[in-house]
Amino acid sequence: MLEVRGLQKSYGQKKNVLNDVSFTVPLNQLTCLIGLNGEGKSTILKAIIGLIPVEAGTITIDGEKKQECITFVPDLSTMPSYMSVGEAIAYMRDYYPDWDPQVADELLGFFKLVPTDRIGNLSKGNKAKVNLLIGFAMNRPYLLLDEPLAGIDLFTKEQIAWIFSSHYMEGKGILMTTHEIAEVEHLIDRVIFLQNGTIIQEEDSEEMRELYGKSVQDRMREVYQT
Amino acid sequence: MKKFLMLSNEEIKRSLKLYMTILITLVIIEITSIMYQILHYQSKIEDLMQKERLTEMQAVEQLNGPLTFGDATNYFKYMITLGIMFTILYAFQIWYRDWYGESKYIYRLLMLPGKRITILFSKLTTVLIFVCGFLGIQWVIILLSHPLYKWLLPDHLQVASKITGESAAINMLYTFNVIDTFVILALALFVITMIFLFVLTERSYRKGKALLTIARDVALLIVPFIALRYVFDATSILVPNQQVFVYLSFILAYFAYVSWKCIQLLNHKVSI
Amino acid sequence: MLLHFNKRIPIYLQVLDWFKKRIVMGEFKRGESIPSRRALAATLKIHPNTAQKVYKELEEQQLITIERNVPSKVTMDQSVIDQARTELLDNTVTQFVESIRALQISLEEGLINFEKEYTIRKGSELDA
Repeated sequence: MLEVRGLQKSYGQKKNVLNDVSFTVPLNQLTCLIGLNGEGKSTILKAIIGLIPVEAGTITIDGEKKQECITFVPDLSTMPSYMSVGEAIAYMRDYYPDWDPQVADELLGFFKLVPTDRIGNLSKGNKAKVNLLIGFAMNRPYLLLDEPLAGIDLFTKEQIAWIFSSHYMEGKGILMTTHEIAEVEHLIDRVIFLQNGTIIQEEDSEEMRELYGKSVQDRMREVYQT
Repeated sequence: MKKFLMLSNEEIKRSLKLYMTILITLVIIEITSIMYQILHYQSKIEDLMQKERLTEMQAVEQLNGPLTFGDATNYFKYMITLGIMFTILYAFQIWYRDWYGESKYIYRLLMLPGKRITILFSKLTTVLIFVCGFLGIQWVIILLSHPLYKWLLPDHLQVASKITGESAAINMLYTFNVIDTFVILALALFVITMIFLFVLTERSYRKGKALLTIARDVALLIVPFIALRYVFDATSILVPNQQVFVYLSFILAYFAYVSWKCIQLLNHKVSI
Repeated sequence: MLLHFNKRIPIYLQVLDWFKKRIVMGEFKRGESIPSRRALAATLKIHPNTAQKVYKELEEQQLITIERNVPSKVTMDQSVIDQARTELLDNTVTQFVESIRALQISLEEGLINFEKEYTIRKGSELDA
């Protein structure tokens, strides 16, 4: 279990962009971080992985600080534009000892990516697929996905969504931010509602349905429109 | 170590094309400048001889003597300055391109396993390697220029001397002294590290605070330096040799501070 | 094919329901092997852990048997399947009755319309 405790972040005048943010991300489940634009979802993911420093807060995995168990999949390209897809994969293989080349190969085939294509020339959808390929082939138990479906065409979305129903999900705890709730609602196990840098609610989506007959979108409306 | 080698290799690969282009351009300009200086001198001599009906010796005297090697390589100082400017620009760009490039490579760098200090070392090494490259090529050009000078200019218009430059400062390059080289590289290392500190500070704090922090760090260098100077001038406590030793120790301590700060910022404060 | 989920009802219940229907209808025959959990997840586009939950529930209700290293199978026990069939029937009937009652339709009118629709459907199935 990935546990986030007491994340605190201010940007100078903008105080408490993250205000005592605490939540958990269980293994073998898909947790969705929900919030309106600019509420700090992306900031939280980046803070967890260490790209953004925080004033306070701890990130532990089963009680220990094990950063090497977390992978961050951003919504933009992080590999140099001049690199080809194949070179990017080789790069990752060289730097990351736990890299799984078989997963990389499989996803390369499934996503229909061409190894010689330059990353800079890829469409947004293909860039997203490369990011996802890298994220899963890194073979780490916890994945942070930042808007994996944002601004992507229908067919690419389907390919990406397929991953969430595949065996690649097994043994993984995923924390995802997305605006496309409708598309992934049936896949989400837990939802975390964020507002103004504070966690308002952490809920199990199936419980929400069972006990209250509410969908995640229903709940969103309740939470954000009061 | 492996990470360091891989990162350095990549940094060098990334800039190699641009670097080689600049290098070759500078070389061509320098060689052309020598030929120009020599031919220009010769044509001035001929002009004088024609217009004022002087003998060659008189013309030479009018032009303040034969063309020294330093004169012939006069334009080199501009190329050297350009080289220094490019290096300084590169020291900035080697960081900023990772933040502001088409893809945010800085994310990847900061997330790599291993210590972040390796990123610092690899970028430092890359810039220093390029400095060495400039230095090396400059030496080669100077060494090649001497036979060129001897060959193009008739003997009596030359000053048969060792290879010397225009001024004392330039001479550091022209006299192939190991200690001087070491000094140049140490200076380069110092300047580059300071630039890295400025970049990392700017990337760690908001504008106002970043500016203040940079100003403070610069003051930390200048103020003690001036104070020392003042004390030594006013009181003559120490012998010049000892004074130099004090200055140097301070510079060394300051360098240690700057390096430590760079590492701290990179590890704890830098943000994407 | 269960492609459209009602987002206000637990997903795993809908999948469970779908699976039971297939067993009762005989699409998953008695004693035959069923798709793996992974295959089910991929087919229905659900999280593998949901498929896992469904299989566990099916096993608890004794509708399937799970053994290690062997594909899971539908139970051989017809009585269990019959019981599931009765359950499904009860659910459908309850829904139907609730709907008609809500519209304040009488038993007779309900039955007449029911029989008419049933006959039409059966007829068109036979033709097809």
